Amino acid sequence: MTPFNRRKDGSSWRDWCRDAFVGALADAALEKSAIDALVVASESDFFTLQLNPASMIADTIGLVGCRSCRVEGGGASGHLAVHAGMAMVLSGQARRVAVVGVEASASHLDGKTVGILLSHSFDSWTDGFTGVSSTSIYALSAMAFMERTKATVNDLAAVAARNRQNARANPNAHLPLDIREEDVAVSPVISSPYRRLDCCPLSDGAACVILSRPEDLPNTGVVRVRISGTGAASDRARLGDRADPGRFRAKETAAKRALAAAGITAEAIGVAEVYDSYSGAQLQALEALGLTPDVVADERVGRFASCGELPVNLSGGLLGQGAPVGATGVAQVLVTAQQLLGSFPGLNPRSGPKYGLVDSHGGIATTCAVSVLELL
Amino acid sequence: MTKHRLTLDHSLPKGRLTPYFEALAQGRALAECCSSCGRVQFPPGGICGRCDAAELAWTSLSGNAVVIHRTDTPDRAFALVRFEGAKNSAVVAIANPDVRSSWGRLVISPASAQGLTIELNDKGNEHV
Ligand SMILES: [Zn+2]
Repeated sequence: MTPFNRRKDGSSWRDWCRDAFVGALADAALEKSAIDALVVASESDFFTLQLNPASMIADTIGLVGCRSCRVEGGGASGHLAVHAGMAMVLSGQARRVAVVGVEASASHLDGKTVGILLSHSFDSWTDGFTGVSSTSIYALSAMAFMERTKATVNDLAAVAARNRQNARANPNAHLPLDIREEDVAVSPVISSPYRRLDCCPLSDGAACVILSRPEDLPNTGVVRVRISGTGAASDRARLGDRADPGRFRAKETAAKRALAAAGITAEAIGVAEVYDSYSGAQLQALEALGLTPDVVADERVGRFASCGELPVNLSGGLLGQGAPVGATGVAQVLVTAQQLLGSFPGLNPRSGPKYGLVDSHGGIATTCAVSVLELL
Repeated sequence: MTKHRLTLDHSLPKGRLTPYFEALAQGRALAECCSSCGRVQFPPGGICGRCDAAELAWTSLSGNAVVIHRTDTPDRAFALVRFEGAKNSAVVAIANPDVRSSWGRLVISPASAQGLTIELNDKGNEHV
């Protein structure tokens, strides 16, 4: 993956795709000619000003002639692209698939314009037309969650601070900040109860993973990570159409499907990268994923800390590592695999877990994707 | 670095939701009522949220709403509200954010914000 940040060096999103792809090929010890399919994840053509980006990226990274397509599912785009690539391998349509996620969501447009575009991630005809921002929608959902679970703004601030602290060890992170709960509490209000530091940044960047069956990869003797289960599900698009607007039901379903496909229970998961677009969303996600019987109690005793029983977002998550939307889910899969291998260039889990869980979503947990990764 | 400017003037036909949007433009709440189970939903969605039936009739609501959750930005306020008579709830803009009340009423949205807008009543803080 490339660093996630706001690019000021004049490089283009096409350069980032090339860099991420070249890095993945080197890591897999593969030649470019070994790749026979390309799946591109990119949320919005408004950011790149490039329709049909899959063919353009195939052209740019030297994969002309390959099967290529683009996958989109809001914030879950990158993760769903990994699922699509996996389906190609499993169905025999391809032997070695490159999944490239990219987004230029920081430097190509001004923040206000990006905010307007992202507000159409919900129901454009109702929520989008009110002028409501993503932050306000997430804030309303967090309030419902807080009312039910008695989570406080301090619990949210603890997540926001910890993910930024985790990001300090990650050389690719957008926001590696030495902050504490008090700093979150005095950052400007964006949409109550959310403050600036409760929100993930808009980032530029790209990430790439290569998917294949073990027998179709070079026998380098290197240990690899298997995707042993995937699940996906969708929820009502509008918060108001959900029985409990604070609960991420589709994420619950996606996680159950992924765990069942992997043949394990949530107790076997030893590390997780979850979709923390907002601090409260991380707690809502952990609840929905079934990784804790009492998310607020476990948050307060430090179970999800880097040295805790179940370290969450060691990369810094979206809050710390950053969020170039199409690249986000690809990077989540990549860093979780590296954490299982113990090769992540940041914080790695101390316990040497066998299983890791990756969680992404689009909208407000409207389109959900979950994967279980297993150290072979 | 090359600068490009793109201006988009969308015209969005509303199809079968046209009656709802026409009523909204007049400040009226037109809801869907499920022909199978009788569930009333506002805003409408085209399919019943309880029984999945697609046969829905239009029915008028009072436009009164109760605030469930409210969020404030530096210059605006939004809320999750339930309109009187509806089983689902709705995200709305608050026309008068200076008022802290749990009760409001549907009003015509400004041209710049064509979704749902409510005006809060001055009295009503004792509720919810
Ligand atoms: Zn019904």
